[in-house]
Amino acid sequence: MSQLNVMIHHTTFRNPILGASGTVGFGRELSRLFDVSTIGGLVSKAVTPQPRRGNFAPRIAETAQGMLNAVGLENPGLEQFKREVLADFSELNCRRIVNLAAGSIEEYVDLARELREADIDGLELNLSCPNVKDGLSFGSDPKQIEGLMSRVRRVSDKPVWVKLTPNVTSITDCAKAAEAGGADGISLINTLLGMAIDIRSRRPILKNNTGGLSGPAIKPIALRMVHEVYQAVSIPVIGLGGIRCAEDVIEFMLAGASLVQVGTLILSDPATFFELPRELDKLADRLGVTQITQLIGQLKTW
Amino acid sequence: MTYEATVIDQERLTADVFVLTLDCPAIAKEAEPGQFVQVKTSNLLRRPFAVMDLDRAKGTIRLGIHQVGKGTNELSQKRPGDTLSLLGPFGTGFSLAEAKRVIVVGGGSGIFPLLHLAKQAKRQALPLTSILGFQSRERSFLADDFKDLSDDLILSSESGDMGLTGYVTQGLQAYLEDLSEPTSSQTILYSCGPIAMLEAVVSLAKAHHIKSYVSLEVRMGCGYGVCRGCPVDVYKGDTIERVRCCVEGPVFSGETVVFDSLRGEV
Ligand SMILES: Cc1cc2nc3c(=O)[nH]c(=O)nc-3n(C[C@H](O)[C@H](O)[C@H](O)COP(=O)(O)OP(=O)(O)OC[C@H]3O[C@@H](n4cnc5c(N)ncnc54)[C@H](O)[C@@H]3O)c2cc1C
Ligand SMILES: Cc1cc2nc3c(=O)[nH]c(=O)nc-3n(C[C@H](O)[C@H](O)[C@H](O)COP(=O)(O)O)c2cc1C
Ligand code: FES
Repeated sequence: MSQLNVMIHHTTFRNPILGASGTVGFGRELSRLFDVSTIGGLVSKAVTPQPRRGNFAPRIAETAQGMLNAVGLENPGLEQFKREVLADFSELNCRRIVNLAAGSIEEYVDLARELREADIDGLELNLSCPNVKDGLSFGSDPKQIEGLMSRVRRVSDKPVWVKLTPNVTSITDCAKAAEAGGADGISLINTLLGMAIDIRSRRPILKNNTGGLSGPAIKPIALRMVHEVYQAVSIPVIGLGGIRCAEDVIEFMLAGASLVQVGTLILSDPATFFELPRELDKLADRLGVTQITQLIGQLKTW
Repeated sequence: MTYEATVIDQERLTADVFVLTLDCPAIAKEAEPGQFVQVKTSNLLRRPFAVMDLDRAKGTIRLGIHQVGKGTNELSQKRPGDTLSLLGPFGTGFSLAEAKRVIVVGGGSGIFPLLHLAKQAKRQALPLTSILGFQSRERSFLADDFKDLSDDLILSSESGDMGLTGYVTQGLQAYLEDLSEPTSSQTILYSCGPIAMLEAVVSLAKAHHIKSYVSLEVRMGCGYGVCRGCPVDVYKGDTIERVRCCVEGPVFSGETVVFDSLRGEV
């Protein structure tokens, strides 16, 4: 038995494994089928100020070792989320993070303010969804990231993670800007912008033409970026991208992640996701690791 | 909801259609007509297939599979003794609750979920008309199974070498035109097949004042409601609501489906 618990910004996670935004809904379906008290936490689907219908079908296309999605942030919007979803989400027996997405700094600030009193463990600002046409451009501009984060900081005492997009020139500049603005953690990576084509119809498979690539295909990029960001900031890094097994979790922790999130795996193998903490425990034992936190950032580069 | 199923039998029906019989008591016990299972292959995402038939006493289910790509080709290699990982059963299936007479209309691989429904209708002693369309006799399947269950069987083929010549909708149109008014009010039509076919079927049913239910095959991510990868637009009163094919569907009341929202699907 190794110690799997991780404490960051005064919050203890019973283990470092969380479900990623967009792949766990609001926890309702999974908590009916599985025991969520075995995992570290769940990050909700993005909540936006107004309800969003998202894109038309097809929204999903499989690719080599990955998948593209163009859901387009379909969600009930803040009001309905607070009225009909939040109470159940708050009752989940694991750490509960609400993922937020908006079209302007003011809107992000409003969302954070509106959830100030909510019984949740933190906010994750999604600065990076590639699937919405009305321009979430903050994600690639360090100045905007810092400005946005510092404004959100003023209205909320909740821990705030900034979730970065890999579709940028310098991920470290973005991470440093989030830290300068007062973020409590950096989540990375979101999906990479991609395309899949049907040669018979000569059309993109996705109705939105492009979508976000996730799954094992993006893991090497995610690891590299977690490693770079870990070295550039002193706040915790939450790593994700293509995780499928306990070995992957340890790779991310060695690269610098304090916590990890699992996305695409949950779509095909939810039971495997809920078994991951136990698998991590066994693997840590085999590696002679008594406390999982001993692994964070212990990568020895050449 | 995650089960390891053992292949008991693999039966080839045509050059590109086969049936897998699986030992999976838990799913055999629960699955309703129109519900589906998510089958693991070596691909990243699972593949959804309707539960085509089941035997509760034996604890077996049957999946009818049309080979269209990587995953279905891989499944065609499965032999007795091999195991498969299944999730399910998922989705809102067909309900026979309001039916006094049943018409099933199937095209291509859309025929599979209708077999389970037809057997249920038979068990409930409901009069059943089956209208099935294929490309040709050589590519037809399950016609004998439906023949045994149906009071009326109307077959059609695009090549013209079996039954009526043309699309399944032509057989349906002819049949509906002969239906007398009092019968039609108690008749419910159930259909599955390509989107374009379903749209035509629903409009024919509407024109003849017959209630219809259709099963839609929208590409899926999870199959159990968490990813929002499977949107279907449905009319609810005057407004259009976007719901999940995998949870609120795959079976929808035909009149409520906004077919325009599914233009990119096959
Ligand atoms: C609720 C539901 C029930 C289904 N029931 C059956 C069934 O009983 N029997 C059967 O043979 N098929 C059924 N299908 C379709 C089946 O899931 C697809 O044919 C299968 O996933 C293709 O996998 P593949 O790896 O062979 O094809 P791929 O190599 O992935 O793709 C080949 C082609 O298959 C089509 N396709 C891929 N994924 C889907 C999908 N999720 N839905 C529809 N078309 C797709 C596309 O046109 C694609 O170009 C069902 C689909 C749904 C959503
Ligand atoms: C279907 C789907 C929907 C997603 N929706 C969101 C979202 O609403 N907000 C967000 O920040 N990330 C979203 N993501 C991105 C994931 O949270 C994650 O960053 C990404 O998928 C990489 O992790 P993975 O490879 O483990 O899936 C979504 C991913 C998928 C596959
Ligand atoms: S396929 Fe994931 S919600 Fe329907």
